[in-house]
Amino acid sequence: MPIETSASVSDILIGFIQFMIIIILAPLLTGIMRKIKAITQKRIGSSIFQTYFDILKLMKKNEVISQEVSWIFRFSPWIIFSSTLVVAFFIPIFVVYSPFGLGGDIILVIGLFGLSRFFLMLAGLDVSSAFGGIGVSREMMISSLIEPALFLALFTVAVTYGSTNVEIIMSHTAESSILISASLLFSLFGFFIIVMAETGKIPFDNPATHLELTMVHEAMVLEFSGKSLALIELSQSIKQLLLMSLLINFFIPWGLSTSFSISEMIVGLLVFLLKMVSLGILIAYIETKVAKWRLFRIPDLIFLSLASGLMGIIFLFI
Amino acid sequence: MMYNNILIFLSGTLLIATIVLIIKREFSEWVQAYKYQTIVLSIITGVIGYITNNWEIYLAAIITFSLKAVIVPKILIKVTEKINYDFKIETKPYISTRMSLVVSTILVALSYFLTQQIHLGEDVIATSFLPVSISLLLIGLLVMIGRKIALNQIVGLLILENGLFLFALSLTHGISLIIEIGIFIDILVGIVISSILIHRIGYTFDNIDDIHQKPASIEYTEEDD
Amino acid sequence: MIRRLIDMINSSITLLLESFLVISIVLTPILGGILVTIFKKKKLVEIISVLSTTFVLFLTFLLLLFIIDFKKITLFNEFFYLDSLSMIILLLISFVGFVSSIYSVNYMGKQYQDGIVDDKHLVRYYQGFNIFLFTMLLVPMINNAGLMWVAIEATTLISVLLIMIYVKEDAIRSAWKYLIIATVGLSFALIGTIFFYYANIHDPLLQVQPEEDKINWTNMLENSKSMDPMIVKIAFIFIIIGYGTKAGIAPMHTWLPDAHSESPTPISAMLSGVLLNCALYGILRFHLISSGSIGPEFSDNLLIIFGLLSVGIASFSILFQKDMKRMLAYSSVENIGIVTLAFGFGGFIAIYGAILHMINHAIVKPLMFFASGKISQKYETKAMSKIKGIITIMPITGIMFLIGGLAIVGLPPFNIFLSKFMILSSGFSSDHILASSVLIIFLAVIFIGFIRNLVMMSFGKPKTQIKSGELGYLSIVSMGMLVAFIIILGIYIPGPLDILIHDAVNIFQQI
Repeated sequence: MPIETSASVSDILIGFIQFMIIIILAPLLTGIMRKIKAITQKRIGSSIFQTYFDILKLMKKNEVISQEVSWIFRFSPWIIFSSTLVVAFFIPIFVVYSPFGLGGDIILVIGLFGLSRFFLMLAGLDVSSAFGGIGVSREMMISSLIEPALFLALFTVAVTYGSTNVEIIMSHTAESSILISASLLFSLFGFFIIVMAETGKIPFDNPATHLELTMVHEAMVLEFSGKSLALIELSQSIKQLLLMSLLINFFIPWGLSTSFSISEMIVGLLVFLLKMVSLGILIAYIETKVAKWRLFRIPDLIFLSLASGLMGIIFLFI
Repeated sequence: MMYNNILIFLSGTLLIATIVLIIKREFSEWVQAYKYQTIVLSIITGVIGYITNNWEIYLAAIITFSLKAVIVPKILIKVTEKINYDFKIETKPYISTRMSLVVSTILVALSYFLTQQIHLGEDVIATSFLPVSISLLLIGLLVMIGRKIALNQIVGLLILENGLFLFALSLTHGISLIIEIGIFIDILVGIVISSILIHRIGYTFDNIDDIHQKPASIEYTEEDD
Repeated sequence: MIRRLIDMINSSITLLLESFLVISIVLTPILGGILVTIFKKKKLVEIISVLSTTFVLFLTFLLLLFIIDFKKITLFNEFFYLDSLSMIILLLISFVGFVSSIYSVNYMGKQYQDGIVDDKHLVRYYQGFNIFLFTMLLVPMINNAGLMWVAIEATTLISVLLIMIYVKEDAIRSAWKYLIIATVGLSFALIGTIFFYYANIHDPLLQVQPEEDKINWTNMLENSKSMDPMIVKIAFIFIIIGYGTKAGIAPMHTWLPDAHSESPTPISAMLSGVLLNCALYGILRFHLISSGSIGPEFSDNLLIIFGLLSVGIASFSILFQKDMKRMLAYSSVENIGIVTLAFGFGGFIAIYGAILHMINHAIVKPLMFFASGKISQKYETKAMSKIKGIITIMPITGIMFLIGGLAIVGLPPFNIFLSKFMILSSGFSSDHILASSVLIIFLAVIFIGFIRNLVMMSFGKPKTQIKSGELGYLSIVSMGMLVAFIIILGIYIPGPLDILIHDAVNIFQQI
């Protein structure tokens, strides 16, 4: 195993670079996926850098805050953003090393995502507008189902590789051959559905619309403006990138660099970007292929993920 | 065994293709999903043919693909084109979608458990595909029991039939070709006949629930007693 | 030297004749179907069908002579295999097919006159009739268990087409039910067949070695000793559920009353009289293999349980039945149950009785269906409460209906009395006293229910004004033949038939 516990300065530097790459590239990924979606729908679409422009523009704008809101509303963007940033420190993307490696437990990652979602929901309720309430109740229904499914999917991975530490799992996956057991196939399938749900993709949610009847995430962030909105958008992009990189590095890890040699890391980075973009293309393709499902049928889809995860566990024991 | 990984991978893919079938609600989606399942099945058949080095199984794979993944879905879509949409969408199944997902997971576990009771020896094909085939059989039955719509019962029958095919293939490494062809012809004729029936159901019945009522002939009253 | 030569010539001539017979039995109905498709005129179509079934019956009688002489015939590299048991089934199929085709001319002719069916339907009916006969004839002749399954599945598909000749809600509903239940059931039968095949090719020490002829009856029966008992048990359970569904054994019988009551009457007669026996034939073949492998107890017990269940369920259904054809359908369930039970009893007399009962039922039930078809055409209803005074309105049909009804509940001097008596007496004399006592109770219930309905329908004054008179002489002819057989077989069993049944029983006894 190439990872040593005592980190040198260069290691920390590399970890920091990974962290910066996550933050810098996250909006780009969102832009790319929007562009692909536009192309598959035969539209021209905005530039792939549009997300950056949006965020920069929002940063410059003044905030409008309702008189009715409490401190929760003001603080929650910062809590959401910072908890997402902490997760970004834990998840290696192209080289199996993260600055907080030993603390990077998968359950902690899920917990931190849960924290950010919790504050987003609180803020949605805090503004006491009707839309916020709708969005929050929907989000609660979906997330209460997603979390067990997510645990099941990741549990299979953890048992297969014998650890819940993200870094150790990834150092194992980087060395393993093609799909060492059928259970991973099931958890891949389940995890993929969860990624779609968590990032608000089309069978679950449609972030591009502002129709009250369909929106989930957008309803919650409706009252935010200016810097707060910029932070929430950015952390949403980061979360999407992090989940997708978890999927890539757990289930299709080939090319993931395990040493700190420059050439390997560059290869690792390029392969990672390639995989990320192709995953993005796949998701965008699915988004154009399927229609948005009715809210009350969404649990069916998540149950599919749950069943798949369960089957993965069954396969572990036979 | 070098094939082991591939076999396990394929059986997992087939199971996923099967459970995806369950959450579908509309008939055309069902047929689509059935098509994907059959494609996976024909790939599996081809791999088994490669391992056993038997040309008859290659032929069976080709027939499976062309008949069940191309012709049967085409026929089914074609005949249901003009049928009222109410007959095609499952709104109130007897067993809800979520419930059937959970049950089918249990069924998969059960079939793996059952297969372990039979002594199969060193046979790689049987050990990896027999449980999958039994789960396909059971899930097919579940779909037939749980769904209200006549069309979806056909899909259940087709899943069951796929399971049967895989069962025969994995246990005996291919029963002789003449039997396979006979079975294929039966399926084709069965599909044609059920299409005719569906067609008639489409214009004879006004309401989807009518088909589940008891025949009127028992409802005679004894007026003169 | 010359003697040997003569022997050789003799045997080759025999082989040639046998092949000719078997091939023409199979091909005649197909030819009939093709001719029906070519000539679409009503008269011609009827004549072709009657001729083809007559020819099949004639050929079957010729084949019967060979079977009585040689006991078993294997032809075309063991593709066809015929012994006394399959000969009995074959005889029943061709006989009932023959009678039904004569009756069809009358029945469908009346439907045609009344405008219920048109030319297109009529041609479709006769096509289906011929092909249905073909698929059924294949069943007892094929040696290959897998292909036999294909043939039985084919009978299902064709009979579904025949049931839905009438485009009305009830017919479509029951055709659908029949298609789905029978197909699922037969899938189980295929699983069982594959398990038996696996038990035959599977050797714990060696790998699986598929061979073409190891799925044949003859081969399986030879190797039955070396089969894995566990697999044989599982396989037989699948077989009895699978073919039992098709044979109408309770609790898998639910399709049967619907299908039998909604199909055209001649088809009801064929379904009830012989199709059930075809499926039962499948069970019996595997029963033989299973007995050879793990001893007869396991399969015997299963047969007794399922048989008794069928009789029980049928008896109470008959008691509360309001529809005439449904009552007859339930009576088929009952009789198939009795046959299954008797095969389960084992022993010479019980099996002799079972085979005899199979034959008797295949004679009586078509008669009942034919008569009920005529009655319902006359009264334009199938509800028993609306049918009164058959004897005064249609004297000949009425009397025949009454004879059939009395025969089917097992009154002497008719044929079913004899076979039921044999089955019961062997049941009481062996150690199946409990099963036989329960059977007697159920039979009493059936007796009450059936006779009550029969008497209510036959006698009394007809309520509405219906013109009295028979409906065509052809129906009388076909029913008259059946009545003659009922009375003859009630008094004595002809020599050749006795030999045939003896040989068939010996097949069971040798295991």
